[in-house]
Amino acid sequence: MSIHKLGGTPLSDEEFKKIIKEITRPNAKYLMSAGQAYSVFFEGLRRGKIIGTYCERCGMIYVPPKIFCPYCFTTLDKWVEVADEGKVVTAVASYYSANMERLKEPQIVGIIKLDVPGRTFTSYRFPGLLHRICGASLDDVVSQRIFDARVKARWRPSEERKGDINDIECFEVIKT
Amino acid sequence: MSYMRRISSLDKIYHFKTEMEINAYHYTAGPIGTRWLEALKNGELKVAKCNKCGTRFLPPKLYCPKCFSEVSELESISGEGYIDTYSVIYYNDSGERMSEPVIIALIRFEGIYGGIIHRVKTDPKKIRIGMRVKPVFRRDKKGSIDDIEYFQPIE
Repeated sequence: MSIHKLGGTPLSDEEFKKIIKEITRPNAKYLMSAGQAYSVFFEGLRRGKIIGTYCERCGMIYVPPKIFCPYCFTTLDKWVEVADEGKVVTAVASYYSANMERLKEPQIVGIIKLDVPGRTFTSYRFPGLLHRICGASLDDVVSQRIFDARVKARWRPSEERKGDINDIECFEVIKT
Repeated sequence: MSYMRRISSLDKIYHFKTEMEINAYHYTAGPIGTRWLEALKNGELKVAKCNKCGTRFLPPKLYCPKCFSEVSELESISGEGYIDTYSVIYYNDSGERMSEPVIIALIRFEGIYGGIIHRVKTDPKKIRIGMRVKPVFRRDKKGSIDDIEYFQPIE
């Protein structure tokens, strides 16, 4: 093992295997609070509803909900229920699962802009919901056919819902 | 303009339990640290020695804490040290009361700059600052600070 003037001491894979190491597994358990707005959102999912907030000043709708408008800096306490149907704004085919495992078949995930009752599609700005898209193929993504496709939430049976984002199994393509 | 409404009921706040997905961290100790750990594996507690200013120090580091010159030497010491400060611990990491308290102490050695933090096995009522201690090694050593099972008082 040589001591370099700069840049530390490089180790080859073989050296790294042989060298004395301190191996520790962090006992890191997290309890993450969803906060006030997201708690309402998850409670909504449990009841089969998608709930957001809207800003009275600029008209922006937030799903999942925020409690302040980052454009106007105003407090948001007006709730709105949006449809479980919408359009794919953007999508990507991922070969890794959420747990960083390599997948054989790619999973299609995308951002979905949901319909809001009483509003036309272009009359509001909408950050959208990120979710899995089912019924779409890799080719749909590569050819960009998936963009603007109509999708609808496929819900878990109500007795199996737990109040988390997976209460929606995926968004199913209903029309490309 | 801040959102000052107080949370009226915690039951309404959702929370999620997650665990860090990492399996393990593999730390290497560097050129000097590795040799120091190898010495521990042989049942010897050594100190790093600076060739330039002669400072002998613990824990071993590649650069001298006093003159910043590169260190390449380890030196043997008797291993007998003294307690500089200590803490008696009754609860474990998850906040549960342990059946027996654990004493963690900063152990310094005569003429050595720095020291090491380690367990001391003795009656918590008898421990005192300045108490002389020596390391007790495990039988199965793997090259870790834990090869020293604990320090025990010298009668």
